[in-house]
Amino acid sequence: MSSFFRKHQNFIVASFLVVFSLSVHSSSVRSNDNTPSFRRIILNAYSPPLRAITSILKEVRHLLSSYILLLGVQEKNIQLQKSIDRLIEQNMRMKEVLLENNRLRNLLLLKSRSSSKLVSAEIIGRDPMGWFKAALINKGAGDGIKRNQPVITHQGIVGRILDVAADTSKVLLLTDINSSVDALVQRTRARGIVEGRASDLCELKYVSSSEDVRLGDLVVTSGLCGIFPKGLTVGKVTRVMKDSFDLFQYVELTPGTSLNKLEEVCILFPENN
Amino acid sequence: MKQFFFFLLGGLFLVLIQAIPWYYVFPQVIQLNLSFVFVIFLALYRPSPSGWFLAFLLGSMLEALSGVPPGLLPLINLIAFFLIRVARRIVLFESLLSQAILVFALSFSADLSLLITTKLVSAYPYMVILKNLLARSLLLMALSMPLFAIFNKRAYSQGLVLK
Repeated sequence: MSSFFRKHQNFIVASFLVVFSLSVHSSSVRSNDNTPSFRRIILNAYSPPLRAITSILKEVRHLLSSYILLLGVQEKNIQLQKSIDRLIEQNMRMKEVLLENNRLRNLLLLKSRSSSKLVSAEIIGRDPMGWFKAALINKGAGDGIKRNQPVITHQGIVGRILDVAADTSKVLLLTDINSSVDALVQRTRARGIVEGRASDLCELKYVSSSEDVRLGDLVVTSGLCGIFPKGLTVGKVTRVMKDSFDLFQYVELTPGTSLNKLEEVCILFPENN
Repeated sequence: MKQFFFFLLGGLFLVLIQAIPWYYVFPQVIQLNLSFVFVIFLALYRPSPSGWFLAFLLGSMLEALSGVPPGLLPLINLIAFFLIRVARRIVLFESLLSQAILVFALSFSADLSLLITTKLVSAYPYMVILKNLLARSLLLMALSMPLFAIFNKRAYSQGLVLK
């Protein structure tokens, strides 16, 4: 028996792993409220280094904007070099603080406007596969985060919580192909489903050809999908294509939030929580 | 055992590199599947059960951090591993050129399979997909060549033979 195993060990191990992968994939079709243990372990393991690296990247960005880009200015103004350096450094720090302040102030205004509880979080990682759109945030089960909770900014919805670990969570972004949100055109109340197009755009699908949708129309959540409350900004219509023979028209949206450069987000807790 | 953990750490590090939000400093960064090169490397230099297991584990770890449907990435890694082992019976993949072509072909095929199985292929125009796939595969091929060059040299100097 052991000689048989030794002779065919590669085949046995490979077959087992393939069958296991297929079973994991097929079982993922059924919805599950809990994040599987293995994924929780991986998220927990990667959270500390990602947080540290993100902090370093922010410092590097500050360093680049404060010093390296200004070398030419330093060379040209030798006599005022020390005082200008000091003043520019302070100015850059204040600008960065001001930008962050504006972002956090907007989040705070959003918090005070909303009757639901909001928890703010930082983006510490992004989807390692470029084709998919997900992000990692620095809040998890320890902060009361649960699966399918909505994630928003003051500019609109970002996505929903996909997986939760102890102190980090994975967010499925609005532009991901697997994302879908029930929405309506604010002006005409035409309903549809916003699905990600895996680029920076989304599509408002299943809008009847008879509905009036124009460029620049604002699309908001309808509140019917059970995840996002009603009235949150999804995006603006940037393209409409209608064919009289088609049942549905093609409506393209640009998300309200710039999902490629996210730094801070808010997680929305339902009102009964 | 030491080698297994060394390779495991290498794989973990590559996954970490892929998950970092580089846009904080570099606004335009192309994301490449660096760990896939590692899987190809394992298939060539470590075809034992531990190699299979590492390929599976790398796919699972990537998947845990990604929005990709569960089970797909480990499966793609295992299929790539299997295809390399089968192709090794015909082509030895000892030269850098053959290894580079292997990386290009497998990376292209793996990405295409991922796009087809997740229906991403319908989200983009075909020419955009083709250009994207070609660009990613070529870049990955270029990045993989130094790794293979170093290991080819070490393998020959230590008398290790590709199995």
